[in-house]
Amino acid sequence: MTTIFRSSLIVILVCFVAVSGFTQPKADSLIAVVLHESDQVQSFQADVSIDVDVDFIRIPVKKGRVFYKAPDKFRFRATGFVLVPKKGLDFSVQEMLRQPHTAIYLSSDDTNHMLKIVPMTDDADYVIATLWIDRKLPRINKMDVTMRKKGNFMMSFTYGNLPYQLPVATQVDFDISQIDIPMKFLGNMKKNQSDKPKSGKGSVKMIYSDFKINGEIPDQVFLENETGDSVIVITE
Amino acid sequence: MIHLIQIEFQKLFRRGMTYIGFVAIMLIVLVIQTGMLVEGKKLLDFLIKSLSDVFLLNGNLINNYTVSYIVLNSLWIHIPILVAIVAGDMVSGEAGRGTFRLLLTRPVSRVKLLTAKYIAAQVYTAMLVLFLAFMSLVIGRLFFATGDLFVILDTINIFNQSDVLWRFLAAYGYGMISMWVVSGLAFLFSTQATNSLGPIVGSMSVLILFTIISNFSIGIFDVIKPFLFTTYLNGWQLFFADPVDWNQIYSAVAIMALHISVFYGAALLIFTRKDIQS
Repeated sequence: MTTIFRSSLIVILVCFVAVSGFTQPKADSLIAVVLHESDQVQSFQADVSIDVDVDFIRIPVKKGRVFYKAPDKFRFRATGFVLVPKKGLDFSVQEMLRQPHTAIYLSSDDTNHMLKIVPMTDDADYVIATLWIDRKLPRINKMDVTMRKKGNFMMSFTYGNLPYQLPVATQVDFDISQIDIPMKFLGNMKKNQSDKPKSGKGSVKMIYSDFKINGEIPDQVFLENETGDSVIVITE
Repeated sequence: MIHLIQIEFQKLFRRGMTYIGFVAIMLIVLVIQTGMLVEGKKLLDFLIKSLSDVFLLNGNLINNYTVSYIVLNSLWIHIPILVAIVAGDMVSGEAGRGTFRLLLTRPVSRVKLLTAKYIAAQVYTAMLVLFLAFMSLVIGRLFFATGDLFVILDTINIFNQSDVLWRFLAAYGYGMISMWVVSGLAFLFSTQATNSLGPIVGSMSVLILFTIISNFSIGIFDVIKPFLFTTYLNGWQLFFADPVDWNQIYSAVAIMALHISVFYGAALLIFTRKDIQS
């Protein structure tokens, strides 16, 4: 009996190791293909409209322009006040995949391969991520990232007919239950201090248009200026 | 009639207390503007700190519009006091100084005399609100740039700069009507007194009592709240909601207009029947 049990365990372990050994390169190669495809885009600029849907925030749709230059220069420019989700607007997805990580192939469905990404460095700002990579094209359709401190971000990418794999729309769903605004502070006596957002989820939809891909973008674009416009500059 | 109103204005602006309201508003607004200039960003960062966990926030929210909104929020409690000081003195002041009997020997009807005083009081109230608007929106522009307005009501409302000015003008207009109610009440009390302290303290007492009732969430008070003018005093905030509840604004303005009419009618009734002894 003991011999049978031991034999079964060995078989299971051998199978697991074999499956892991088989799937690991597949996960890594899928990511490598996606990164290679994104490397084709050395720069781009596009108009973007940002629609914030959070039940306790009323903000009109904001329009602006994004600029990106490889490897890591990013700029968002708009007039007035803007709320931009911390994940999804910039090239953080690609940046994340370039950091040391372990990729585990999970499964696939009709449309996507599903991968888990675990960071291998202590200073990574995320704990775990799930990637949905398109089965036919080298692009990410969806990504779920659990951040170390900022909760969960789910990003869904929609692609158009661009010559490169750049999304024309991105929806970012995130956790807002931890957001607590001291409503009473500005003298609004009607508001109960303990009032929390009614829904635990918020989302931001960004729609891109008027792309200019791989054109020349001067470095000055990525510097702060004094125009009074809203500017978000991300340079690593 | 116009000549009577002009005389009332001359009398009004000869009194030092008339300027107390303007000086007080100027000082308070300047203090708030200076405070916001120095510490405003820190205050706003504290308010929206938790938002920055999820969002990258960008843009200048400490601007002239946001500060003007904070000024409105802070001053709306104090302006009724400044209004009552002058309106409460309009009739009782004459009685106190013993000039009424002499005044009424002139060939002017009591209705005309009281109406001229009433109009002077209400124009003064309007001037006070307009001065507040001037200090906030015009003088504030010397300290701050314009920008999107950030308002915390039941929700966080952020309005485009182009969508803000009409809201302020409407809010000041609404505020003017609500202050006319307070002024009307103080004026009514003024017709019954022979010194100005009584009407000022009386109208402030009513204001405080009604405000407490308006803000108490107790069932018994809920029945009378819709009939109290204090329920509608902070209705100017409705213009900074999204979407604007116009029905609520129309009904609030109608109720306040009714209060103004009743207070004026009662003052007229009392004054025309009053036995002037001094």
